[in-house]
Amino acid sequence: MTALLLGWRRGGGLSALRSPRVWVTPGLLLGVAGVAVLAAMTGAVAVPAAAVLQVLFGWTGLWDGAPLDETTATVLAVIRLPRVAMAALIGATLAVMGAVMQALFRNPLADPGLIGVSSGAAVAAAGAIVLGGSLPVAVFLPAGLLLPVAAFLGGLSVTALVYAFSVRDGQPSLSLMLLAGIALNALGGAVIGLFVYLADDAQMRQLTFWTMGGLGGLTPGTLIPAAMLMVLALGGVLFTARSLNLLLLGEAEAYHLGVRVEALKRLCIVLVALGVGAGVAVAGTIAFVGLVAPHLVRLMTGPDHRRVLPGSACMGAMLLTGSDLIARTIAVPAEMPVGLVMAGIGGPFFLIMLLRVRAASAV
Amino acid sequence: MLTVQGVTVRRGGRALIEDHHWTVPDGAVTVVLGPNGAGKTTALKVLSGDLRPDAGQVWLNDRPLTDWSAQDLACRRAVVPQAGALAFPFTVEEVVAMGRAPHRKRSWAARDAAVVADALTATDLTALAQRPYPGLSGGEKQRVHLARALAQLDGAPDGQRVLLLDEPTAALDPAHQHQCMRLARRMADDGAAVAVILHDLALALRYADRLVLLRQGRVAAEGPVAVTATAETLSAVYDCPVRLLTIPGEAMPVIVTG
Repeated sequence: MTALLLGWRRGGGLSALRSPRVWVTPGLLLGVAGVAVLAAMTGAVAVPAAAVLQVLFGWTGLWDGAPLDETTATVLAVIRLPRVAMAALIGATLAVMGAVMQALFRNPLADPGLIGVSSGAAVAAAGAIVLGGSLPVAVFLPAGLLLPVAAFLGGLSVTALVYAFSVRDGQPSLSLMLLAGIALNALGGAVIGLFVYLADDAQMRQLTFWTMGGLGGLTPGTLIPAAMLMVLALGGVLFTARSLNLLLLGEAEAYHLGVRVEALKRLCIVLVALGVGAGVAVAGTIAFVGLVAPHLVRLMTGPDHRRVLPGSACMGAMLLTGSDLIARTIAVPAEMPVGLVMAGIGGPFFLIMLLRVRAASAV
Repeated sequence: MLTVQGVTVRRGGRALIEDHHWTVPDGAVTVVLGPNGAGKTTALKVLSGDLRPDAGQVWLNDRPLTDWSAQDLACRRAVVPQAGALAFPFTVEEVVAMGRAPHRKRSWAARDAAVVADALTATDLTALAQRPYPGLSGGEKQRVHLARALAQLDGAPDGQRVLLLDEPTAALDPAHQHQCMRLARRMADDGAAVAVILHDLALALRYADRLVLLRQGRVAAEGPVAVTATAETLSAVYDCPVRLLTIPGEAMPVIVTG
């Protein structure tokens, strides 16, 4: 899909339109829909595309066909569709928040990890896995909730700490934030190492898998609050697109153009921490989406965030849904960590993109 | 009009600028001159609202700068920075169009497009309109920011306009130096209050109505060019012999330094 869109743009086949860029997001949306339907069809029980569409459109009353057999209906409604929807939502959130961080730091290599969300979540998750049952809070939380709640709160706390270290004269300084993030990420790595040292074999395995990400452990109890947080963060961030464009000129220049820079930075950091924290809490750390999806989209749409943010949402959704599809089907009945698939496929794909750009710009 | 009233800025126990009193009147080009480290850029940051003074106040017309919202200020005041940090491949036209951002709620797309086209023409950038900004030369980038500032000040409410330029000619060739200063001059003739930091004394004398001469953070002299631009004052401010030679038949004196 991506290659197709790029091919269109390079071929200039859409020269009749004012700008092919306006077609990128609709094209990507179609791509998301395609991958999502494919993912819903595929698995231990194969489901025909018609059945998937029937369940989806049956809810809207636009499709009446013969009623589905009970197994198919259950597989779709209980297993496949929630998982596909969650993969799409998490992918969209990670990708959009990556784009926001890159705008905030005015650096195309920034990602949400910089402000400590992921490492904070990982530290708390490691603590929950290793110390788990021996913690007093475990009494109040059902077993399945301890890990995601700990990870979410861990992510938020470390981000708050990074933010607190970065405030100078009452204003957050991005260079201080970067340095504080690096320091706390290193510290987080040490604490995780300590937990690994204390862990028994089973805990170590669980911890390792958690850091590679996976959508296998979703339960309605974690899924619904996490989804609400991610939708909230995504919705909020989309309103900042124009201001983020101006911020790319520089903080002073953005202020000269009427942007309330400090408020914008604060809002973005809160939304990134909420969205990424919620995603990481239910799926573990999934690297790469936040970095690569915005890049791929910028290659097609240019740097304007009014197109980059929606495009990244679609691209991230497509990448994670597709990776999750591969992760759960490639080694049946086992499941591979989705982060592995993402990096294994995304890495070479990104390199190919780089080669094409290098050839095209010939700099 | 901008009025600087008793402004002092301190950083790390040292006064960067101390007890400044001067004005940037409407309809005139005020050039800020001084040796390195005299506090020119700090003074401009106070004028633009980037820096809150530790003492004193800057007024835009009859209201202190601190009473204006960022948005209201942006509709009336544009700043041309020394160097743009933009690393993302926006086109020249897109960067200039960003100057229209403060007017988004009161302007409309067709008018914005016309304003942007005018600004591109005025700065000789029409041919570069679709080029990505990061690939431009230093001088071209400076002209893009000048064009952005011109676009920003078009249609300012109640006609109040303030244009601040921080060494806008540093990276420009002579033709574009004069083009830039002529544009500043034209804005002033149109009623805007214009303040420019310059290093080039010849350009300053040629285009300024008023000079503000800074030395070691203090205002050494301020007022109309005819009064302030004397060999004695300039020599004292720059700590370097400056002579003004009049050539018969030329309106402008020739400046000889060193």
